[in-house]
Amino acid sequence: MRVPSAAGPVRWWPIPGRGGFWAVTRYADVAAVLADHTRFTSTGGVMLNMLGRAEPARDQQFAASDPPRHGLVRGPLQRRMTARAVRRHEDAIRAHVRGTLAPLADEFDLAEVTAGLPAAFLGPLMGIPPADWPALRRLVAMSVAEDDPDVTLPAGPEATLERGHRELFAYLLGLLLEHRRHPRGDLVDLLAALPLRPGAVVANCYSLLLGGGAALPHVPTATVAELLRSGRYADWAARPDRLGGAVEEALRYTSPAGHFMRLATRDTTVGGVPVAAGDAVVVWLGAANRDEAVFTDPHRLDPLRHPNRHLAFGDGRHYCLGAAMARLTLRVFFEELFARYPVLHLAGDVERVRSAWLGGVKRMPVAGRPR
Amino acid sequence: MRTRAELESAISQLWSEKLAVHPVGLYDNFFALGGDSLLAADLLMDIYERLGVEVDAGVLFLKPTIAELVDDVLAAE
Ligand code: HEM
Repeated sequence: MRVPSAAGPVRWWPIPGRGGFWAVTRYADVAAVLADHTRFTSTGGVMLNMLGRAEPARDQQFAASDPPRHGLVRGPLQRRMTARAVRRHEDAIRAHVRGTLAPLADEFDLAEVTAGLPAAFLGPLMGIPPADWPALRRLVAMSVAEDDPDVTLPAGPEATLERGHRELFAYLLGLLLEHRRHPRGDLVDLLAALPLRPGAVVANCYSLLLGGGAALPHVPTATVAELLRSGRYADWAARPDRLGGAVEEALRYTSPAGHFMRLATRDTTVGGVPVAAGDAVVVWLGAANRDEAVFTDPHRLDPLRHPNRHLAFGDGRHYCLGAAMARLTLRVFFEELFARYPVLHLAGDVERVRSAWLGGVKRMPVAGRPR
Repeated sequence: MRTRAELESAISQLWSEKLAVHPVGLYDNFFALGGDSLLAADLLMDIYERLGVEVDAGVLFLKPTIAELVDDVLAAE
């Protein structure tokens, strides 16, 4: 049994009944862990809710595999997810965003609007009909924010997680069967054509859906929350030419995917602290993205920050597959929001999500007159 | 069309193969017997491909017993 150390950049956090984990928060240490898949494996699961359990998708789901296996599935998907490849979806994404902004009254919940964003690309990427998204969105929330009172079932967080996961699997299995009957040439068809067992195809679809659906809405919402708090919304809205850098800064500042986990494959050190083979090592991306050693004035949201090598999308081989799609969607969303609402005000309390993984805002009433 | 008994025995055989558990009771829970979501997806595809029967994925994932699956198949036929 290790003694939790009170201070220091790499700390042991015991979790009763499930061992514990090393919490890594410095930028340099986080980047070092993510860069080295030989010392830190993804095969034990990558989110804290998998701590102390066997990951059934180990070596089957590329997110829970190490190279070279990881690349066998990720490689073909990645060719469809480059900045160049996703650009062809821009018009469809813009049309979707306009469609969600157009019917809004002068007062609306911005979190509700951004929650609909993933539907803009889950259609083109996976053939998921936009009409399915409201129900899926809830299941995604159950799977990544099982502690949030909005979604926790009476039977508790553990049961919520399991239920969300099972229902998503059932949905995705149906989606796979549907694709077998009517191929669409999308990522689901691509996965189905790889030499994978059906369970592995579905597990990879699950990664795409969770990766695409969970974190993205929280970037614009939490960013606008800060802009309204600090009175700088109108400044940002007036400068659409700065959006490229602003999106990167929004990602750094909000870091909605809070942590990722690895297991040490051998006795090693992280930031000078000894870590034993088999220990869980959890990197906290939001903390790394506010490391003063790397970012000047890190708590300031600065659209002109340069350089801005943030870790919101992770690093190394598991660097977010959807990063280009996320950047495109965020840019389009900010462009459309700012064009329509040059001025916006808070119209009620901002409520944050309760989760060990997801950082973000789930309710945020705002008011503004559309241009 | 197959009888309930035929379906029960065909499905329980596939189920035993997947879980390496023998015998499987009609009311045993797939996940309690050691099944996981990936195996459940494999099983559904096997039932579909080898028996020509399409089981509702929601039933398999949320009410994972042979009795429920057979009920669902018979109701659909
Ligand atoms: C702002 C939105 C997003 C954030 C902050 C984010 C963050 C991340 C991070 C930090 C990782 C690394 C995980 C690890 O190291 O284990 C990751 C991986 C991944 N993301 Fe994203 N993501 C976002 C959007 C998306 C989108 C839109 C998609 C899909 C369309 C997506 C799909 C994935 C997948 C499939 C992986 C696994 C990659 C691998 O293991 O090789 N993400 N994401």
